[in-house]
Amino acid sequence: MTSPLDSYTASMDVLRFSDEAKARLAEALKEAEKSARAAAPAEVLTMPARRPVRRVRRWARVAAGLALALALGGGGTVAVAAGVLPNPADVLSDVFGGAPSQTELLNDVGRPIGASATSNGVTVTAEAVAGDRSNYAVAYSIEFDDPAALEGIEFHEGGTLTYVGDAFLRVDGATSDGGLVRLYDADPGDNTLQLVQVMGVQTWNDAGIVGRTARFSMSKLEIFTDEGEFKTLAAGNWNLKFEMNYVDTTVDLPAGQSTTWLGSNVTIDAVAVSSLGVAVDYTIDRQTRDLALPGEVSDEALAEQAAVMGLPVIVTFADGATFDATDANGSSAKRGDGTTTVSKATTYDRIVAAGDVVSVIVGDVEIPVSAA
Amino acid sequence: MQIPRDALDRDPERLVRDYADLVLRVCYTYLRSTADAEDVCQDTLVKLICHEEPFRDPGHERAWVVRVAANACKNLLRDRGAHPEVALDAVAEPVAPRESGEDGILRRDERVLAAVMALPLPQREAVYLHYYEGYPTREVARIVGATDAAVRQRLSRARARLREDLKGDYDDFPA
Repeated sequence: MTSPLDSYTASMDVLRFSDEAKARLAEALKEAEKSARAAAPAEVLTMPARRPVRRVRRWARVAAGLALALALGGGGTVAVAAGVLPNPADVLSDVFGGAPSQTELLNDVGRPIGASATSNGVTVTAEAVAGDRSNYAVAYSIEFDDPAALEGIEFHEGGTLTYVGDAFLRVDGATSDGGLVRLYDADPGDNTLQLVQVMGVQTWNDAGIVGRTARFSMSKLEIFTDEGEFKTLAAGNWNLKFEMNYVDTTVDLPAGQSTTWLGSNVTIDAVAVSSLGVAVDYTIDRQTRDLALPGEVSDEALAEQAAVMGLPVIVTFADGATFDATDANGSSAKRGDGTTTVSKATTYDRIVAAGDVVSVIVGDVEIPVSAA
Repeated sequence: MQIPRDALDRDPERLVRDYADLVLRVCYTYLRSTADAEDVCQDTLVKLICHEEPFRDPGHERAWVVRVAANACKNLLRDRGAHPEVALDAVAEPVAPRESGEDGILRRDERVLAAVMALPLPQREAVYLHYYEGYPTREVARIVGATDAAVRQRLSRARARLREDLKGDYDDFPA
């Protein structure tokens, strides 16, 4: 009798591309290979041999890292930002919503005190706040009263889940530049998930957000399963607010170095790193022509854009891992002398201790953080 | 983007010959469909051509192809979930093409295949990688980003479910 394994392998064995499809694939690959060669001749590539190896998922370590920072803190102090005038709307909303939870500061990490909301047996608590000049990260715990609530959930590597939800955080007097949210289970032995929001933020006078009030709201917590389905883990109404209080971990690195990118001279104007992200400003001796046609962006225009915006930016961490910030959010401005000024900034795919950023490679220039 | 040169050549003809059918089976396992297989195959092999780090040996390269193709399929599943206009139930349930054979055997083969394809994705991928591709559980764990214990548990659950679904018509999958 045929075993089920034999049946299964026999069925899979007959799954094959037709000869015609294979010929199409081979031709398409040959074209792709030619394009790749044409796009980057080796003689003009100034990228150093060190390349980003991989993005390691470390979100499961975030809670542990923040918790460690909290544990290391000797005594609590409450930092109050000086010189930040309250927005009248914020004052009014506080009349109706009560005062925000104060945020205790331990080491560089803020810990909101009593910032918690419970709905339908699920408690959301703002546990920690970290940030730099233009980004913040907030870690929340989501505790389920029902010990069976997390049973049967398939987690990814590192205990992560594909988050789909509507958790929203607004910081008074600031606009968000967007960011990311990660949901994971730091400890499979408890009934609690961890949610981390990392966001870029701007204020109208660059005053920063330390001391401002953050307002969190969420009505559902959903994940997207490997089976391709949405699964609601919790639904309810969670609203809480707390003070954004943390030590800005931004470190400005030495700048002024010269390099080249695809044959153009580049001057590195500013480089800053923090526990959350990296920002690089540079001036390049090149400008893009306006090649875009209505409704499309040509390959030629993309190549021109890459010749200005594509200067590689690689951050190296203490454990040897790297983060490729080359494609970070960027802006550029043409100047009258034929050059272009470019600013790039992005958050990492992890949160690190401020001292764990080793260097930033801009083009082929490596700038050690120890030089700051 | 530089074209790497290492011990294993990246000749397109060779890559298609070695990996196209493998990627097709990965697609079928993950998507329950072969409709996107050609696109996934092309994307995966282009990435292989442009992959800058050398591979230790053919097995290393093959595992890399499986992982990249699997990730591409997972991304497709996520995209479909994030854009509900592409309804998941609109994805055609495929039937593996048959070349020839006795009807009775084909029916049994189809029944087993249908039972495997009805497994949840984590179990399905573990069955495919372990029983069809022949990877030990530790290597399956590395490919799918899970622990060895989790993969063994998935295989155990898959076998239990197949035993139930197939109602003892056949011998068990070997543990």
